[in-house]
Amino acid sequence: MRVFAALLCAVPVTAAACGNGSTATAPSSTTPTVKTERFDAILLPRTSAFFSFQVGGTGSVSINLASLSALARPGAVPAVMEIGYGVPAGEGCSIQNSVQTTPGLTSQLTGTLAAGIYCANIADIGNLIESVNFSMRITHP
Amino acid sequence: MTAPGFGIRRSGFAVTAALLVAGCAGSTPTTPSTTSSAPASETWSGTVAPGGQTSRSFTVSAAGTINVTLTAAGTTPIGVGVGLPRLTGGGCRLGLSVDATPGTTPQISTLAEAGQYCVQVYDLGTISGDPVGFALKIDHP
Repeated sequence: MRVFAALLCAVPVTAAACGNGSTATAPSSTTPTVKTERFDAILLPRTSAFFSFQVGGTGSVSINLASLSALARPGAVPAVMEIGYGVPAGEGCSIQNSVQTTPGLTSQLTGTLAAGIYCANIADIGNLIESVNFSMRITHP
Repeated sequence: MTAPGFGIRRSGFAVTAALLVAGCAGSTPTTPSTTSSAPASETWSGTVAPGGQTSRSFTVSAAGTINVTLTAAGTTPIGVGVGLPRLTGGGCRLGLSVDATPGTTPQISTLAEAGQYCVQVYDLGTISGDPVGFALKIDHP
């Protein structure tokens, strides 16, 4: 603890000692760290699934349906699915924005969200004929 | 046994010293630098057994195009796909895949965000008897 205290003291001391008469700057706000979360699960035909995540501050959120593959055989399933984001409501996700897309390795849906709890959703719109594994990436502040 | 937090204390000293030194350095402005990632080219060879699959992970350092070229394999097509590494247990969750025969042009070419990816080679049900050898090239940012 003493060392941390020393570290905290060292910064202002250093800045003051080397000021060169420069104008003091206003304290800057903290930028939330951007993180990427994975949502991997199994989706049955005509069902949906959601994943809750916490946005630490206002910023860009992107959702990527990266993978869709059959359970019992190798290979990707190029089916159009609906992915979206919204807010948790009861036992589901109240969708605010969504897009229909096939799997890909870049974000298919982006938006700007304020700090809070949100959910990412995936739903089969009638294209699945079998259960699939899926992987989504959610990048947010 | 090292006491918990010992490493942090040492880091605290190091950071403090660095701040003191850096804080008193000359104030000559430096030219902003941009980070560019050189394209990477990886080669991978292995074998696929009847009904089997094998995968390999790679890192994309910046958004760009992933090209996968199956350069050698047996006489029958085999499956090649790209996706995200499984969170547990190894393997690959595919986002796109093709039935491929060897060639010199990429069988898979797709945009991708920076991150961890994997390529998978798998039997399409056409391999019988001995495992089949293959070679492929992965080009990515």
